[in-house]
Amino acid sequence: MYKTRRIRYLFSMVLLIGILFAGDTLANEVRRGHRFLRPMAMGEAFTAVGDSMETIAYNPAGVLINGVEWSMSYPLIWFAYNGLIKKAINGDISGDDQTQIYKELPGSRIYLEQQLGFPFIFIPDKGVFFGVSSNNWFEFVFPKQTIIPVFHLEAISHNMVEYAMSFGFLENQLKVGANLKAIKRLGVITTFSLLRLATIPTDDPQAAIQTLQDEYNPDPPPIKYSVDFGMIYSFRHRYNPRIAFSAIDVGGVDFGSAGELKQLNSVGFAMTQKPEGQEEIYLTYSADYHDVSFSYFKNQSLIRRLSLGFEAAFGKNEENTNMLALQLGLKELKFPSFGFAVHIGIFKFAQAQWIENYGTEKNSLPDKRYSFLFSFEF
Amino acid sequence: MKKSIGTLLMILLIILVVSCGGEKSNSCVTDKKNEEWQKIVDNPDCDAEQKGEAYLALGGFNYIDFIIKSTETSGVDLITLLGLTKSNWSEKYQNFDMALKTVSQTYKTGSNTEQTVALFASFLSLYTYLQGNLDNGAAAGTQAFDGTIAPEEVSNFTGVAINDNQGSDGTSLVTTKLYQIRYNNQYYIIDNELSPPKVFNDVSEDGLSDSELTALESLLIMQDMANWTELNQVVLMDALDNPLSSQGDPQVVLDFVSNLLNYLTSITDSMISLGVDSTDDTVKDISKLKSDLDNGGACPALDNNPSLRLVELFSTNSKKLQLPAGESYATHNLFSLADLASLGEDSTFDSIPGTSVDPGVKMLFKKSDIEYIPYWDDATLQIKDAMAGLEVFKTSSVKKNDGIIAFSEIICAADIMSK
Repeated sequence: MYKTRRIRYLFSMVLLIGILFAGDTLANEVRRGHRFLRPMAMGEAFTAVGDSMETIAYNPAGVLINGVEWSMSYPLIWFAYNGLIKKAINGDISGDDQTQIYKELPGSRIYLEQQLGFPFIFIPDKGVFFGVSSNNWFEFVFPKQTIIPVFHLEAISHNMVEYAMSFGFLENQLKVGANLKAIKRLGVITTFSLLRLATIPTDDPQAAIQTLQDEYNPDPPPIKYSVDFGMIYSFRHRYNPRIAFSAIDVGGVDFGSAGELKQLNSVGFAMTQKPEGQEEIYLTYSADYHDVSFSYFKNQSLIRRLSLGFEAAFGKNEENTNMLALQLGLKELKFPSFGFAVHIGIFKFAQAQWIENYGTEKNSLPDKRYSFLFSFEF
Repeated sequence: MKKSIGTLLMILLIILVVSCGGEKSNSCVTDKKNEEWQKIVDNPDCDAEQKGEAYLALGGFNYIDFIIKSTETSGVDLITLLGLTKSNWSEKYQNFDMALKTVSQTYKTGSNTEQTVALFASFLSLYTYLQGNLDNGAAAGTQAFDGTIAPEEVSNFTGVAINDNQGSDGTSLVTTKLYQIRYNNQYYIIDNELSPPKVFNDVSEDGLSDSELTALESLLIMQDMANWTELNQVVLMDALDNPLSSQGDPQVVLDFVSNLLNYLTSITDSMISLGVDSTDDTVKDISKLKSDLDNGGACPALDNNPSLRLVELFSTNSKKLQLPAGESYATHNLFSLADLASLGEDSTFDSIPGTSVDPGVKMLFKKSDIEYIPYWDDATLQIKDAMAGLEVFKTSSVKKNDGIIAFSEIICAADIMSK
């Protein structure tokens, strides 16, 4: 008992230190440490769901799940791309009409992302999660507002080691968790002039890369530390309704030329229904209100922050995953998303499709995205 | 347990406080996405880069439209692209100028975006400024922003108008039979109207005769032509029309030149900051405009009216004020025959056989019917007015690509902008 109290005390101190010493800089990108397919397909309404490994990117309190001993996830193939890449793959892009290409250029973007296969070790019964991950993405964006010829470039390798712990209070009705992260980012996030790009030598790619690196990322950022904090409170009811709060990247993280992460505060609600007589069917409903403290979006924008999610799942594996699951979501109450996952033995295949809005509530700029996963899960 | 819950609530409160504070700068980003440019320029929290871009947008510029137009066979019509009219050009110009002013202090060490704003703001300010002032339809029979800058519109703005009046437009100087020569590092005047010719000292080296030399000294100098090191025929300016009519204000034109210079400098500096060279098509267009403007004053408008360049030359090379006693006029009021001939000077100059020196022209200004002087400030009122009107341009150069827009180059802007 004494030992448990001491751990809790130590944990609280670490959390407080993390909060007080985290940078207060602001970021320009909206991004979490991982892009998991299940939450993306559920419209990212995942703050209060807290019943699977993916909670690590949304609410570390959810890593405590009683009765589930351990699991390990090892993604073999994980990649994502957007609508423009899909069009290119399908051969739907023609370079014949130059004028038409220019007309379609504003607001267009190229997006590719890949996650290298490192295992996540998850011990839900103890409320412990350990993960090593490397997300690598490339985005090339022509702004919608083409007043001056600039474009946005992101070429980032986001490497992270994270360790999360969650504790139960009030007979585990209240779960409180934190995720401590060490992040090493390589690459560059910048906006630069098309005129400048036009003058970078293209006949010598090595020289071009060196020029870009010297100019935009002469000093790669050192390892940065960040902390996520979360709480989930479950009500005693057969549908297991729960409310939650999470603060991701408390204080924000500044990576200099490799971008920034803002603190993202969210509140959410979720419940899981087991229809009577259908013991193998799980219906999960969720709703999130993101960015309650207006780090990312202007405070007038209410709808911009709302997301709804739904999942219908069948069967339960030992490691708490479902054999078959179908997810639906609605971000900002207008951008639909969906996905599915099949889990047979140790093999898991999942696919998700969602929409990111890079505009505003008033002038949306949707970008359709697709993601696939093939992994081993134990 | 109550203590634990209290601690958690405290943590929650700290987190919320830490996370607040990003809204103001975010509103600039949101306003940009919503294309609410006026809000951005009015918001003191938006940075120079954001405001600069917003000012360009308020001026009606959009790069992608520029690119799309440039792919069309008809080329880019910036007047149409920017929607320039007689009533709105000034407002648009103010926006472009403000875009430049907003980033001018920081762009050289600023972001790539800021440098791009500086480049386009400079170019658009220059273009709108030239077009608004010159293609203004202010002169009778001309249309504003029709893409053609008529000579009348330029004259109306600059107040420059010289009629081809024989004798008073500068194209018919009065030639004399007096020759200023330099011999053994001394200046002398040979008066060839006298018979026999006589030689006089030219103490002030101004082209005016002083004391007469003895017959022997004169003979010696005149026979030793091979050792003359300078030879200038003395010409008299009896009259000169003021090329700036009463409606023209030299200061306005001077300010105009100054602004053009500033914009061209900003264009060059921002291109350097961006690391942009002249291979890019957009930069080529900008560079072409720059070199066309700074073209050494060569264009049909001036070819058809060389008097303008001639009087500009008079102004540049002439001495305004009397020099203190003992100082030399050797380098003042001096013109090469080639320059005068190329600019349409009709006077016939003498050729002097027997000397290898290229002859030049030494000018004197009429003070009265009986007196000529080597400076124009005390010349006849007509000459003084004309020269004073042109004086503001005296420091300008008319060399090609010298980075300076000279008076004659302003006149040529009419031709350039009409293309």
